[in-house]
Amino acid sequence: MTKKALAGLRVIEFGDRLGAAYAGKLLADLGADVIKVEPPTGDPSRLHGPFPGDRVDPEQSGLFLYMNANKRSIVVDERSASGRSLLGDLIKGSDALIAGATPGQLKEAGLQWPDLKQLNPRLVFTTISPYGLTGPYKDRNAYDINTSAAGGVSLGIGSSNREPLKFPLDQTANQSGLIAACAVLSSVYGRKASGFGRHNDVAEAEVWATIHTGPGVVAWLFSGRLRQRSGHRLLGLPWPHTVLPCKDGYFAIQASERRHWDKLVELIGEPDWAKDPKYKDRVKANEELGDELDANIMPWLADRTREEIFQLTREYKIAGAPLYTADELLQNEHLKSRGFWVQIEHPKAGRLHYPGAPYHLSHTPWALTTPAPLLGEHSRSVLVGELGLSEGRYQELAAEGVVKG
Amino acid sequence: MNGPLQGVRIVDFGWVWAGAVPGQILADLGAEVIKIESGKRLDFMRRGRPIIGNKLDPEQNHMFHNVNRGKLSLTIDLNDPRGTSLIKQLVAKSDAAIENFAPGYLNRVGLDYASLIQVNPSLVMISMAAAGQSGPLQDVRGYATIMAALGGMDYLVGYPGEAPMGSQQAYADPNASLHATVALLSAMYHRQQTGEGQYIDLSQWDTTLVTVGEMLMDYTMNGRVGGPKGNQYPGMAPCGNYPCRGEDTWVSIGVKTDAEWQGLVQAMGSPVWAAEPDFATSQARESNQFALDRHLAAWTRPLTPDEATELLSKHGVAAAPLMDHQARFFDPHFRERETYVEVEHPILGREILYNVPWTMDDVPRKITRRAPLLGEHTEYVCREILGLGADEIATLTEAEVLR
Repeated sequence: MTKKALAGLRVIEFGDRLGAAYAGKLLADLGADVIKVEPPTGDPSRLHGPFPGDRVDPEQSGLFLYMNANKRSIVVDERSASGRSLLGDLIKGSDALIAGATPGQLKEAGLQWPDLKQLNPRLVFTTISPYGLTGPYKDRNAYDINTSAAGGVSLGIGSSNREPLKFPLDQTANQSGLIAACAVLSSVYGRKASGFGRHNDVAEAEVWATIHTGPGVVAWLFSGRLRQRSGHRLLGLPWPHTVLPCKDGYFAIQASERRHWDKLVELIGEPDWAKDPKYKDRVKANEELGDELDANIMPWLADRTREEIFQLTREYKIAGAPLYTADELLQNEHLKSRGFWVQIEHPKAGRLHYPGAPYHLSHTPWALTTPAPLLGEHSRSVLVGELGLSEGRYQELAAEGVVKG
Repeated sequence: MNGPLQGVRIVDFGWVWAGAVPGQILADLGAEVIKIESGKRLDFMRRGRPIIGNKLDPEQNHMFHNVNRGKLSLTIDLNDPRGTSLIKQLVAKSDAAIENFAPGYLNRVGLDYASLIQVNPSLVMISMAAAGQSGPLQDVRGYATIMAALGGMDYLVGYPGEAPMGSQQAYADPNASLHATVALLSAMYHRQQTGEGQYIDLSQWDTTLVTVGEMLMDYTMNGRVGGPKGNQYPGMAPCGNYPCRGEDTWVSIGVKTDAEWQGLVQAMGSPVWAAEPDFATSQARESNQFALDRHLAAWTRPLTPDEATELLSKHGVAAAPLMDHQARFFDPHFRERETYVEVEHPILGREILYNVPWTMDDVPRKITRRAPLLGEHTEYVCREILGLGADEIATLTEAEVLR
């Protein structure tokens, strides 16, 4: 049996904000025992998709399968008093509770830190909510589109005269989940010395506003400059920092640094345009003559495939990369050689490739051990087998619809 | 109460952005993080145009101050055997090491994991190269835009049906940093439980790929490759940023449930168009989202982002203004939570840095100390941690080993 870094750590995951699922995934993939508490209707991401053949099936949602492998699922209806009491019993015997929920939802579910702290003083309680549990916006509703807006990322993506864009998919979930996982892990680490858990308050908008866009605030205070979005180019740096079409797709080039620029000119054959005095200040030229500069290298790019250009940029030590698409990533030799893609059999969705380890731990490897659980698959084994509920009581609660599975 | 990592010591070779943030977070949490620097090969973040005067000055980059606050700075020559010997002595007295050099560099100077566990068998060490420590593309350079391109994110960024434009933001840097912090803390937890250290090989490319899992699953399930998504997200309509009164001001609006849609309709004063069958169900709204966007934009245009947000929030609709750096700095919510905090710096004076990324109920939210000046703690580290005498320090400084 392989050792796991987080073996023995019991984590309860609760709530419909996807960040909690990513935090749980990060911990489960390194061996924590993550129990996902779902409502009787199932976690909303079970209905999100993508579904095989686009046929909606709560057991085959791609997002759910990806986010919840290595976890167990129990169904407990926290809207009922007996459900809340079960949840309390579960929390009593756990190391951490990650709740992805608004302050209102937390209140309804009876998940308040003063109570939880009494119930289990060693509990690490980590909440993920749109704006945190304090502050004037705490009760505002928000999705990824909103927290990305408030966190300052959206104004930087897209064309200057058009609608700003957020990052694709739900990156708020990933970033808030990462911060929540850091909060959980540092708290369980510190607990050995202190003997006590804590409440960590993760605010989605604030994760963007600190780690991602935070450094921009002092930059603005000193320079008065606000970041402008500029489509496929990044302004404020010397050209080129751009994405351009080539023979078989798109290629990103970042040769702002002098040494990279010199190499790029050498690679392309030091054409006359590189010596043109109007391009001497490449920061200014990037802002004023971006299209013209792009057009200068587009014929060279158009004659070559992404792999040809990628090979050349690496030889010349210029930062550049193809915009890879999903099909190419599945076939990529580098990713294959590192064993990035993993496969696992799921009782309903069958055997599929999943994105694998973001990191390799030499002694306690990242591992995909079990597929995402069916709804309530572990309700009985956890509640009866581990929590000590009698079979009779379990059946009563099942009949009342408080538990399921 | 002190931070949870009080008593932990980290040797931090991490540099630029992605490599600096894990040590910054650990320092925020109370660890003693010693940044290994070189006066000969400055951290890229120490370079750049000066703010005061016009001479290059390694102490004037506020980006550096954000991502290296809380740390100590030790300047040391890694190409001199006396320097590497001191590093080994420091590692022997530390819990973990962080590095993001190009693969092979630490091996060349004799400070790779295999060498370091000779002096500290229970060391936890993380390498965070662009494409990891193995495989044919090890030589890929770790710039955030490169990671976003390779990682399948960039081709999803753009307006639907148009050419991909890439995110043009350093998403991949902090994203790699946070994944590194999770891996490092997990290995430290394992070490705390068992006494066993280990080596972590992180690939920044892989950390980007795991953030587009939903798209990759659509390919492995359905063979769909996809393309630029704009602001679309399955199951939501409207989901976008809508123009407001004034130049380049926008409000974000997201609707998932029917109740939220009803709230939006009421907030708009129940216009006739909203009652059309085209917008009656969430499926219908999603198929007709371009028409829906035009109607909604016409409604938001006379409002300010704050007016629209207030009104929509009252009706339970998810809405928020698009905030730039200035707006976030003055925002009452971020003010109350002290998202940004004033820190005194000896060269730049008062600076506003981002605070610890989340709040803890029992630890005050604050930055433990400002970013270090280059080599500011060289003497402290040599004397207090390594136990060197004043003469030895003077000799090594003279020989430029400690520079």
